[in-house]
Amino acid sequence: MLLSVEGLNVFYGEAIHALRDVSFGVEEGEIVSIIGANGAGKSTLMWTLVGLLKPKSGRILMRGKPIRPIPHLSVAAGISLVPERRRLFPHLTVRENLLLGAYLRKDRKGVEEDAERVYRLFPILKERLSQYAGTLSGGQQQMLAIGRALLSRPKVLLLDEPSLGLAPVLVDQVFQAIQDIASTGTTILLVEQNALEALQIAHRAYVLEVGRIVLEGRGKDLLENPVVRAAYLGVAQHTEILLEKNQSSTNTFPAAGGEP
Amino acid sequence: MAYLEAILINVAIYAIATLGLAIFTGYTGLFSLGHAAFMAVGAYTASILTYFYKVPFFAALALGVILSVLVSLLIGYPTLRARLRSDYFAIATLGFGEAVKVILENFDLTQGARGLPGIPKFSTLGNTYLLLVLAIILCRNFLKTTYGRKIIAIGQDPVAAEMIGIPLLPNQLLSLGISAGLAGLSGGLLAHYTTFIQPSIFSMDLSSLVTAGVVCGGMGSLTGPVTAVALFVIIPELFRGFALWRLVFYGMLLVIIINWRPKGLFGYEELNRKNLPKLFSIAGITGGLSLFMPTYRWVIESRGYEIFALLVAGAVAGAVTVLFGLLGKGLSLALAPVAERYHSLRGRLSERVESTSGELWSEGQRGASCAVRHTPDGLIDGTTALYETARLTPESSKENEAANYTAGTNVKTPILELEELRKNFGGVVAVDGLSFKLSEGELLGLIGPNGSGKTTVFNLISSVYPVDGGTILFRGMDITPWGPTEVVEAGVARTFQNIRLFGSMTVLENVQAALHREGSYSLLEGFLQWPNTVPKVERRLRDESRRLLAVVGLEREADRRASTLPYGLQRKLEIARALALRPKLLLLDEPAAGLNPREATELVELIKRIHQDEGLSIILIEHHMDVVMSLCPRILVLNFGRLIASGTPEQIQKDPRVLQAYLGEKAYAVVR
Amino acid sequence: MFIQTIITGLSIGSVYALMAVGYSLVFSVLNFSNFAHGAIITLGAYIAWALMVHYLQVPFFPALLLSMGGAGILAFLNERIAYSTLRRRRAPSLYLMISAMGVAISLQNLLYATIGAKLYALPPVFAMDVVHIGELTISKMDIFAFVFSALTIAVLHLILIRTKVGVAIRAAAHDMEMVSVLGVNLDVLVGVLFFIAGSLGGMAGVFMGVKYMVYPSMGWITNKAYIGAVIGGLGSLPGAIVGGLLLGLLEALVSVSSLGGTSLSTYRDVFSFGILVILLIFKPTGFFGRHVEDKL
Repeated sequence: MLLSVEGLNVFYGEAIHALRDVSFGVEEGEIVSIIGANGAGKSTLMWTLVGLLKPKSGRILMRGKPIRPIPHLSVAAGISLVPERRRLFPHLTVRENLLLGAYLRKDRKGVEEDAERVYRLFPILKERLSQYAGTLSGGQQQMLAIGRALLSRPKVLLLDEPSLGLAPVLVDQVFQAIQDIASTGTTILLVEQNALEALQIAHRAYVLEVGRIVLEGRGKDLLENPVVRAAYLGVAQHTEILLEKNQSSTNTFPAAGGEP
Repeated sequence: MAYLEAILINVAIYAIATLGLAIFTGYTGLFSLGHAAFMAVGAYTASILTYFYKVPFFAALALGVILSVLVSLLIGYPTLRARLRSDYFAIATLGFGEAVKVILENFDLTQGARGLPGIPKFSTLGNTYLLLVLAIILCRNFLKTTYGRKIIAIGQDPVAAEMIGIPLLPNQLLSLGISAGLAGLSGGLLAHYTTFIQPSIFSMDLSSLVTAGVVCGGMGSLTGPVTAVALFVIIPELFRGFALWRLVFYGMLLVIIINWRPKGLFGYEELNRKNLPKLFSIAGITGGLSLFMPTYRWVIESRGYEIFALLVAGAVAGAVTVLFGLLGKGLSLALAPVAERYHSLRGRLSERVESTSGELWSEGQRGASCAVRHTPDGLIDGTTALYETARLTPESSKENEAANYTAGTNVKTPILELEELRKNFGGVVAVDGLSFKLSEGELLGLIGPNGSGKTTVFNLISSVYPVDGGTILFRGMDITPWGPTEVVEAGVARTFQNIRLFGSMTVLENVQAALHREGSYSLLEGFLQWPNTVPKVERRLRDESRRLLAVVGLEREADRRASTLPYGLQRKLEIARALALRPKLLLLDEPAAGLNPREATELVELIKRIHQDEGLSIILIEHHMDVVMSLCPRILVLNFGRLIASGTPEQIQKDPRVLQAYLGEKAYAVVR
Repeated sequence: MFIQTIITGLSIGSVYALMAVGYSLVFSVLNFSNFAHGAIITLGAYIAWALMVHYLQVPFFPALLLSMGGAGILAFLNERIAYSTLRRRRAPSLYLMISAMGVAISLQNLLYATIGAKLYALPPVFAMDVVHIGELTISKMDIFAFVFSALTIAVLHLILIRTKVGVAIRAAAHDMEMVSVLGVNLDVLVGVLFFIAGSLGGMAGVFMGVKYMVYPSMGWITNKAYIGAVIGGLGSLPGAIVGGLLLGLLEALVSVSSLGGTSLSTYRDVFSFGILVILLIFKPTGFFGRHVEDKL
């Protein structure tokens, strides 16, 4: 188990028990999705993993070793977050934003290589390197945020609602990119409100409801689950959903060794 | 003894000024760093009148107070109107404080920087303490009136205060006026005690003393600041010869308190039986310290050994401190049975009120208990409780209701009409030409993916920010340009996604605050707690508040501090507060967010009850599909700020545009 | 005569600008007005006095550098003691400001209580050397101060643009939380920030000490510099420079003008504070500034 969470309890102040005894795991190379309604605790979970929130009890383990909940140590532990609504630095250039992701790294060559890979995944970024990040469109900003997170060469990439505020076409692109990244070996943990997309690409998934994990299973299985359909896909039981086949993408994200 | 008298008079004088600042800063939440300016105005006015024009003392003081109030309103109006963020506001007050001082230095009448000597010494122990006691009584009375509650509400959360119809500017000015008046009184008393004043006395150091008194004494309290200032005056006297260190001490104390104990000595609490020991401990420490030096010197004189003297002095100081502490605890315990009897008496009175509203509450309970089904380990198998709720309402009645309200074409008198509503934030279009009608008495659902503009629509209706295009018609009136308090007065109330309660007020007071338009007595009557009018009105407000709490099932929590309520109950309190505004239209923004299935079911029942019993028109934003589907006969779906669908729950669930919005373009829906 | 006034205005303005940069730098990242900056400036002057006059006979340039370093360290300690707890707790900027005032009051009065209120003079550097250009007289010290300040600010600019730490500081000005998630240790970053701001303040203090005198309430002058920072827009470095220079010019002009026969020079301070108040009410963002709402 690459990343595992045990018995996490997080409170906001005294009154709000935002995460109740949350436990789950992510294996190396997996894509794990956590879906849930607004207010279920998804962002709370992401912030806790990165150390912005301190749990009252519970542990977070990376390869079996507990990690301390301190934000600037999370990158060192191998966790990189693409936050909800991107949180880029609008008055810095695209390149400056990107390279901030590699703040802790000392290997210049490795950083340049990873930057090249990000440009191959998201070519539009290379075109706009010296533009201010604030001038990018929503979809481009999402790509930049993902690129920034990738530049720390994380063991686990966390994505907080990557589809938020994006038009459906862009959402598809982003999720395709996520799959590409995963195919090179990066482990992915993502939380989403858009249950359909999140469940489609997930190997395994969990449902978070009012701070508690209430369902788990394989992505495909949860897609068929009537409870999930009713509550999260907003469809009644007698409605059938037909899906287009996944197209393979022309943008591949090469593995670390440089193979195509 | 004259020395003791001097200390006591100083305590009283500075305490009056601090009381004033406590009202403005501690309760209304606005930091003023230039309050010495108002003391200066009061001091100079009173002194000039008594010295040059032989005006009697109290009349001169009164005129000083009046002038201070006027100056404060003059300065306060433009500054408060600008609605600065809190630190900019504080800096502006600093600027004003300095400006007043410089003006006084260059004014001929005030004899400039040389100062005004020879002021008659009219301030005595008697009249300063009389005025202090009077000031305390007036402030206490004020805070218990509707005027006081409005100010406290503003201090807790200005946005929420506006949303319940409390206009900021007039109330902040009232608070400023009262605090400036008290500062002016204090200045006049100071001048007639020290008999010589010059502008440099009213410096930033003086302002800092008073501000430090409020911060260290505790915001939202009168006891705290008065105690703190008393200590600030007394303690340096104990270490005479260290006069210059006095200010170093204040500065350090300010840093320590704001960093590690920002609530101060008596934060949001007044003196009562429980914190009596605290006061006694403070008095004990002060007493111990004050005996330290004299004991030390006495031992030195009689025996001469320094270390011995230190030990003895330390022992005496320690003994006094401990003694006072024990005394405090003992007194607190001794008073316990008295307090018990008092509370039980109050409890019996309120029970009588409860018994009439109890039935409403238990009905709600019954409704809640039938829909929950959890397996022991928390995992829900088969059907969720939420899903269950969706089947509670029989299908047929929903169709009937829907027939009345379909798609806004067959409507009765529309209570709300939005036409081509538009709002941009920077480059992002939040609301894009939205139009719909709401019929009177309708319960409408508003759903849509995150970021589709739902809360923005509420914010535009309740005038949190202005529209960029389109109109909002409420009961036929164009309320588009109206401000938040006018919208509330017209009859629109709302709740917030992230709850905005007045945390340090009790549950009851939160509702009472919203009833501010129904208390009808004058400010003067309030100050005096005029027996003919005030108690009656207050009782009526309390009873009405209890009734509203009973509607949502919170009457047993009435005296609890709102911030200690569990999340689900906080939501209910927000609804009760909104109801207190007697709205015709209620906007509920994700009321079920963060509620567990049982709480969500209770909420559904509550909303149904309110809708039917009070005959309200309601718009409900929700993400819990089941809540919306089971409550609302008609639902509007928003995406990217536009209306993409409208219809009954069944229609919405099958509408391909809706599915696309939630699921993305890859999905097609086929209905068997 | 007019040009001479301009020169006077610019010379004091350059020192104001230096102080204003210190304010704006801290404001840009931590979003609060650091009123303790004035105390740091004063302490910079006192360190120079201790080195050059009271204890040792250190020559000017080394004393300047040591004062800058000392002031930087003091500013760093100030942050550690008075602000870091509040910052970690994400307290509102008002609390930070109050803490700053507490520090300012303590330090200023500490000086009164220990060293005393006596005014001290720093040894005149460049003696009373002046340069004559036509009818104008410019003191060499002023030229030195102006040039050295400009150079230092240029170095600061390079640090912010070219170094990793500088980019991190600029990023933190927008979103401190996100920067920490990217691996930046905020305690270190803020510490560096305060060291830089403190050094600039120390330099300004030394220049003030040479130009005028050294006394405990020197910090008061820095209120003017704060006004300069507000004029230019809090949080903006170019704004601080422009604001400081502008304020110096305006003050010089007011000092020499008269309205209907009465000299306005005594009203100079009212004028400055008046500008402050009017600005805060009508345009708190100044020329280039960024306005951040209270986090409600």
